[in-house]
Amino acid sequence: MPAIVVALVVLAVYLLGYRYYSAYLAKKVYALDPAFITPAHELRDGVDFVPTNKHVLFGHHFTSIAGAAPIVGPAIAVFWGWGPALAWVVLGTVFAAGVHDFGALAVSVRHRARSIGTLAREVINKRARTLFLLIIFFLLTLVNAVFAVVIATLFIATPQAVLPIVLEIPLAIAIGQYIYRTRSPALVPSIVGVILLYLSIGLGQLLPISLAPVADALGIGERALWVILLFAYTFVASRIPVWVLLQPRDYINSHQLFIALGVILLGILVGMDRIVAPVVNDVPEGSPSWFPFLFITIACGAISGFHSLVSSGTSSKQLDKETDARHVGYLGAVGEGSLALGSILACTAGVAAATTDWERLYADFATASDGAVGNFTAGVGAFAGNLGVPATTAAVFAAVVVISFAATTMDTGVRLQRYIIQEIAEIARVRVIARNVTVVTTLAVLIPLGMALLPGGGDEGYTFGVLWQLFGTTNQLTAGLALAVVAVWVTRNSRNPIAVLVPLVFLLSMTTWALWINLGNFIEAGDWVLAPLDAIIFVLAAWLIVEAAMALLRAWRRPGEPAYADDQEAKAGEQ
Amino acid sequence: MSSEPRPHRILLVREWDAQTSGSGCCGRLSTEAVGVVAEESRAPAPYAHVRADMLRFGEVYRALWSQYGESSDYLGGTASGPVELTVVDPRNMVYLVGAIWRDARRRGLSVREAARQVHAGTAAQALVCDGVVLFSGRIPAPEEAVAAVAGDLESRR
Repeated sequence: MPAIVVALVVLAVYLLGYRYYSAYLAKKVYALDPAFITPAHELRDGVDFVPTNKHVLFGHHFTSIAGAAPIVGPAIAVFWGWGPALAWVVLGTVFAAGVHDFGALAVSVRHRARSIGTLAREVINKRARTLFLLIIFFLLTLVNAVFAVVIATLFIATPQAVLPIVLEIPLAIAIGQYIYRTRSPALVPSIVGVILLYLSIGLGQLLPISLAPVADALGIGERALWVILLFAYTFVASRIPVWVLLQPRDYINSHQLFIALGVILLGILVGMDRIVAPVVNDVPEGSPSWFPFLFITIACGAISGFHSLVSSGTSSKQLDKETDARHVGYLGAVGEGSLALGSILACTAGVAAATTDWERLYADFATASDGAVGNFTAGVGAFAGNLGVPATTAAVFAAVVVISFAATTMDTGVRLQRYIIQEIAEIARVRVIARNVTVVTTLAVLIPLGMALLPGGGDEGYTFGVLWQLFGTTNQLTAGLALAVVAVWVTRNSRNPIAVLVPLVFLLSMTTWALWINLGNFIEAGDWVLAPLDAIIFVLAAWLIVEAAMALLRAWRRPGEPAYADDQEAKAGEQ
Repeated sequence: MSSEPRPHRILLVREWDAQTSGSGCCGRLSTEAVGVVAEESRAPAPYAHVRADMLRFGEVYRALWSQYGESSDYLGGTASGPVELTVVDPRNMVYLVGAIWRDARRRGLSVREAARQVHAGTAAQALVCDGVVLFSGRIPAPEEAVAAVAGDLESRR
């Protein structure tokens, strides 16, 4: 089937979802009121609370949620065939991600733009706050671990991308110095930065860098060596001020996101590539079954809990009209779903010319998951080839884009993890950790480093997809917590919560089921790194289910009552 | 057809204290993103310098708002139509470039001059009124900003 047909059908479904389903959500479930005075107006300060045009806000919101994750999950999941992967991406985007992102924004706006962590405490109870903190801790740990592996894998598969990525660091620093020190406009330097970055691809092709000889000399796998180097880089990068590297690189990345999206769309349109992967793949015996593992393999792209962090607490402070939540929240989810669609098409139509070639790339789950990101970059390379760019150069370009995003994710992830560890240390009253940045950064780096290196005992028995799935479960649990908050709020307001409950129940069922199966697998395989981790996340999932069920029951029995835990306690205190 | 005049568009260009692109799910790197952390953490915010700029631009915003906002009595006074205040991150170039270009061309600036305004308007700090950059690369004092905007609006009455 031509990829363009699939793309057009999916985009049409997204359009219908936005036109009709989000309208239903806005009217019947979230009951948006165009006359409601949003926090942006009520608390207008020109700093955080700023009524913002919905198109401008959508730009800020979408670029915040888009990244490498909606690319990786679908690139692995097409192992089960493009049918199940695409079905989950489309249905997930329309009926789960849209509900979640939009809902988190709507609830936050009705609670003075509070963030989802605070809302969990207020709408459910104080324990939910601790639960949220723990889920985020594991989520960030796994984010850092998986993206280190993603970058390492791409460096090995595309050694031509190493030099451009290394050169991007001084390039970004130079742009930052120019913009911030001379207070000059950013448009021209950032465009020049992107051009120089892409020109360096030619240099990278002349001088591909492989660490295989060094790794051999050290007696470790090449991927393990890259992972160690990446965390060493992250340790340093996360300690330097954001304006030196992180912020200026953001100027380059903001262009890259749109360039990559344009290349994928135009490449598909011009090339008319056909999907060569099977609709449903006849996977080898012993492979994980698509049910339930598909639903934790594709988290970002179908539904991602991290979006609730962006929706609440940030975008909600800038919402001009409450009704704009539909445009910003739901369309943001659709944008992420479109990235996932691009990934599926790159890995099923772009990466191989014939079905037999594709079957070699997705021969088994280990091969599929280890090669997934490389398959995406090769696929985008083929799409860009349709536009006249040499396919090998285009594949390096795609690798550079993905690595730029993933490196930024690691940098931000480690910084954020530092706060979480400090917070947990404060709660546990371990002052030496809470107050010492070097100690806390070392912990924030060593924990995911260990997780990235230890499972499976190194390169030989390592299945990246398993680690990725654990990341997916924590992401889904974050989404579960946000959906639980939204469902309780909707129920308390005497509206039908079914649109929120269905994705909530589905998500928690799939997550706990997959965690349970994997727990058995890990114990059977004697994997004593992943087994305890899986068990902890399983306990968190069970805890979340209990808290969500209790809160929903309370809300259902006493609809209309502002039964926020803190309010009740405050009232009790007054009495 | 509506006879309402098109609002004057004032863009306050400044960065948010958060990562905006390419960082995937960890995008909004602010302690507040996690919520629970923000209230109790003693850790220094990574974007403290941006935060300082945001606070200073907040003063400019509030001064302009008190002069031209919904509750002010400027309508029929100093401006020829309603004023729309928008805060934009300079990394949101898709919007920023388009908005400055359209406004500049709409008020009759040449292609070359419009391009110059677009260039100047993408600084980390800028104040733009109807496609003309009043300040670039620095945050004006509130009264300075109000005077510059008033002067620009007056010049076209």
